Amino acid sequence: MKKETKKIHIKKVKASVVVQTEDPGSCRPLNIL
Amino acid sequence: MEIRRFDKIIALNSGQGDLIGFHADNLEVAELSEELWQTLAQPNLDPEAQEQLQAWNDEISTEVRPESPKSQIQSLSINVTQLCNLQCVYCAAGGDGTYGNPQKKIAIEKTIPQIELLMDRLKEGDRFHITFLGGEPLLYAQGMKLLAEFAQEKAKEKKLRLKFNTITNGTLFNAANIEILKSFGSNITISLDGPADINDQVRPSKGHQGVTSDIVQGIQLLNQNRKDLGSVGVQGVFGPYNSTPLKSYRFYRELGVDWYDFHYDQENNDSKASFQFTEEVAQVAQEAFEAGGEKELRKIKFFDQIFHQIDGKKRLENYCGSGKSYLVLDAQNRAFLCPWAVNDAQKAVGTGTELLKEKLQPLQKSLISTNNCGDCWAKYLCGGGCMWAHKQATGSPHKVDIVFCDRTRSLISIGISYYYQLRKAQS
Repeated sequence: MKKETKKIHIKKVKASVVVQTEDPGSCRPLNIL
Repeated sequence: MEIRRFDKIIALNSGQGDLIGFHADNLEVAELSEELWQTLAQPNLDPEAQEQLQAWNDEISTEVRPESPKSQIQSLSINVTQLCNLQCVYCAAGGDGTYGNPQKKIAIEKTIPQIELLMDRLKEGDRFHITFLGGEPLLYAQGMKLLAEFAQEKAKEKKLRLKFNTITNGTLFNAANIEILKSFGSNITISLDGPADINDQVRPSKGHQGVTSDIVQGIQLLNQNRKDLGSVGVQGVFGPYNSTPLKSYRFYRELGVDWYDFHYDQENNDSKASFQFTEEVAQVAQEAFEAGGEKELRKIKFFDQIFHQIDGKKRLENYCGSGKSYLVLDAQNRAFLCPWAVNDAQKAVGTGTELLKEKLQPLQKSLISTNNCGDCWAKYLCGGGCMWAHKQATGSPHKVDIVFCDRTRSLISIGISYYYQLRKAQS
């Protein structure tokens, strides 16, 4: 990104490192049954 | 929460002084200046703001990852019984847990070959999840044990990563049933909508008696026996008949469980009640944040998932794995795409060990594509939404329910605003 001035800026926040897990993709709102 | 937009960039005003940017494709979060926020409301953008927004908008992320495609069923729900001792007001299983077809016990000898078929298709290191459902699955705990024993043996032989979950109404935790749950290290999800004055109204016994005190006692017994069990959590269903998630949250926190979650009724599309639900969940999030920051917020499953997705830069392209990686077996060994579809025999996608490829094939495209999520900014955190909820509202599983979408975007906005606060504080 281009150098920013004080007035207009976008500052990205740093993401935390996560351990990636494979999601087998179930049903999310199963509780209703 | 007020939202402004510049193509793929979403600007959120939390109303509490935070101005937050979110890149919808790259799943990045940023701080925005007040001046930038203000210019987004103008018909002509400030040139410098335009330049910066465009630059961020056009960035190609090297970190963001698409959802990995799934070619096999890796998650299976099994209705070990289609009987229930409760009669919940919103029960989607035929109103009484039977799906209109009471079945006391699933046939173990027919279920084992079904499990075997699916596990045999997987390769070493793959995950396989089994969820025991009903009716009330603990009415046939012995059946769960037999199926789990088989799956454990098979997983050992095939070197698969096997997990179990039991979704229960929580009324049948006794020493014998807890021993069975321990025998396969089950994770446990307890359906409980709030304290007795709520839960006894919406989730009474078949004889219309309140059972909340029994459930709380059962959870206490479970908590004394946590060794060898997986995680224990509580989920509530909310709708016009129960519009106070905050009250339920305060109750849940006293139960000593690992996590909680709040679901709006998938079969209800009352926009006013849905809006009220999101307002209350915002209060729940605030209370959780104030009580214990990220740790407490992450006890709420929805926020844990959102934080995980944003941190991992992982696009969600399928709300659920229906037909791709997920199937449901009813207590007559028929296969379905979704727990709700069990009501309708016409919707079966197989029987026994025969799965009908022609019925699974149309579901292989991503849901965000099939459901025409287009330029919805939240699509990679939502995954296209629940097909059942869409069908109830619009008549088609692939025509989205706008009430569902509005609610989901609002909840995701809340998630992003807390993600921003937490990660900014760490920077």
